[in-house]
Amino acid sequence: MAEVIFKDATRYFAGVDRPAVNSLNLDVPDGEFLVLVGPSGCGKSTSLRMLAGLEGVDKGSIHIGERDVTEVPPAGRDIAMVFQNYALYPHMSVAENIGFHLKIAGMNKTDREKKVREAAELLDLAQYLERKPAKLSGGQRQRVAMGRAIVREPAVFLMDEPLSNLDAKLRVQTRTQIASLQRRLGTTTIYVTHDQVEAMTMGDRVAVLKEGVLQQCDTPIGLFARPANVFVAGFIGSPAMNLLDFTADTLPSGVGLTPAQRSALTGPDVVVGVRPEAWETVNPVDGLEAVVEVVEELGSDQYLYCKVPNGVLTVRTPGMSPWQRGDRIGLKVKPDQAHLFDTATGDRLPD
Amino acid sequence: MAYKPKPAPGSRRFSPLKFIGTVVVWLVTAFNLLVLYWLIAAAFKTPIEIFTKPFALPYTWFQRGVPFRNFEYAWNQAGFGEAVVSTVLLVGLATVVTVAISAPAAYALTRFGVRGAGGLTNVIAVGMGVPFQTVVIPLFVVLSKVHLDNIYGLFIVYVALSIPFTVFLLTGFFRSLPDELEEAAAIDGASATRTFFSVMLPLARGGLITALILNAIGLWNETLLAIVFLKDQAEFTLSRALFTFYGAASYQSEYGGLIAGVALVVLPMLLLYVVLARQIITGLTLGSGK
Ligand SMILES: Nc1ncnc2c1ncn2[C@@H]1O[C@H](COP(=O)(O)OP(=O)(O)O)[C@@H](O)[C@H]1O
Ligand SMILES: [Mg+2]
Repeated sequence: MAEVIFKDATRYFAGVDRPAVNSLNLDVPDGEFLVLVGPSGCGKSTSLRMLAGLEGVDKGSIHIGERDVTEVPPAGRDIAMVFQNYALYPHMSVAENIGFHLKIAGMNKTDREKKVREAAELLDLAQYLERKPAKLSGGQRQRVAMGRAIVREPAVFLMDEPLSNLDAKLRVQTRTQIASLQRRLGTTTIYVTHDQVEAMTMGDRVAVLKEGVLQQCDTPIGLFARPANVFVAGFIGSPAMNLLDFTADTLPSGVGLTPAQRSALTGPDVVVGVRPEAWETVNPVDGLEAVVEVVEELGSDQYLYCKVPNGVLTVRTPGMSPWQRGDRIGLKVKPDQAHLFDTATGDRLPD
Repeated sequence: MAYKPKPAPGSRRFSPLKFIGTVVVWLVTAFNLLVLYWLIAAAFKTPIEIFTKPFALPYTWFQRGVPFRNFEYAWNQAGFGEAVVSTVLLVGLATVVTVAISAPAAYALTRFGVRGAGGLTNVIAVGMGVPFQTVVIPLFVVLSKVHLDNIYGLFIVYVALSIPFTVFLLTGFFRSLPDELEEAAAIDGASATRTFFSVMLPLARGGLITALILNAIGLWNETLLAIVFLKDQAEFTLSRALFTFYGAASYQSEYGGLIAGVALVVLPMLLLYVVLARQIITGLTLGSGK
């Protein structure tokens, strides 16, 4: 049980001027499930590996609980890690894989077997204990990797895209299993993923990274409702938020700047962000005029991809709506549903 | 009826390169099989048979009811009895020691990320390119000064000359193992030594076995150094004993016995190779792929 703190943690790689992780500040309270999310190459794995001790920290420090662990080797950090490709020891049975840490730690055989069995039962692996990893399915291997982590009862779980090698259906199932297991054990968890749906559904809080810089760290609802900048606005939510360029003086009807927003603006331009579900469809004359180009029918929802003079907008309408390709419609932003950003800085304007 | 999959379109077209390759491979194979047949057949023949009917099946010794007469002669005259013991001990120990030194060395060179490890690996690889025949005399001079011009000195020389190739072979193996396994072991609390013995070594087992076999075959057949270093008949290895026997047997025109002696030296390693060929080939190609 421990809190995790990144203080200005920075990591450079040889031959690259831009740091892979740039002054990361994060405070993860005890027991929290924190998800690090961002596009590929944004420094998620590097951040996690710095916390694990597999990667050096060039500047700043990392704390687990009361301890500054910046210079502590991985074994001394009281952490367990689940790797993307699981990194199971191929020559050891499931039981040996799960119990390897306990064996090294010098636990006697009876206690060890008991712990391994408990972990295996929790993960539905009891019948596979004697098998080698090569003879397990992807989902089972994933659970062995989890077992190896939980059997240690560490202060922190670290997981680097643990679901990315599973098929879509299993991924959804396992996602819930991991989240509920974590809530049950109450162990602080840092979870890395590039999939924003995973991030939003699993995390107590979600930290969004871009090019090594933390963009925003908030609850899923907070991220969704008040994205701190254009990047987060576009990254979180599926389908993505519509981002439209306007100038402060020619905003569409229903969208306006408060005096505070106007004074916070550093240039003449404003980005108006509208989620697909925040559009109202009206008569073409009453709103932004658009032509339906593609209709995506999902049954429960329908997505319209509509052509407007400066681009294509995504609009969510109720499933089985009567829209057809080629229809002309008017689009209006529902009251208070527009997100406003300063084009020059990309930052959210104050509400 | 077994289903025969249809080849990919285009692959059935006649290719001159493939044709020449196939012909060459079969010619080489046929030639080697012929030599092997001749060796085994001649080992059972009288000298007259060997020279007058080189490719016929042996009969004289069989007719007289002593088919293994040549082998008995070789074994007794050449002193193979003692030589087998020396050879097995010398080759076995030298092989094991070579691998025991090379495996940790290869592991450290590929895995510790030490500055200059790549260059050092290349320097060791260069050792493979030095023909040992060119250093026989200096080696002998130096070792005889410290009174190691005997089987112990030969042991040291064997180990030293086998290390470059073995390290090179094993670096390929260790390099092909995924980094995550080491990282997982580090997080599990394993020391570098523990990681090496409990995780990496078992995974490199294929490579270790390949290294053992190839070195064993090479050292078993090694003759030149054995001739230079071994003077005491009690220390003779099989190939060294065969060399002496060659002189004696050809002087007495005991060609059947001589060839039986050659067969006694060559066939065990040939058998070992045939039995373990698959292992050796996967061992040699692993590490190079990816
Ligand atoms: N060992 C390394 N050497 C050089 N650059 C690296 C190394 N590891 C990662 N990087 C770079 O650092 C950046 C962040 O990588 P990473 O943390 O793995 O991203 P991701 O968010 O996809 O997990 C990437 O641009 C990557 O190319
Ligand atoms: Mg990654």
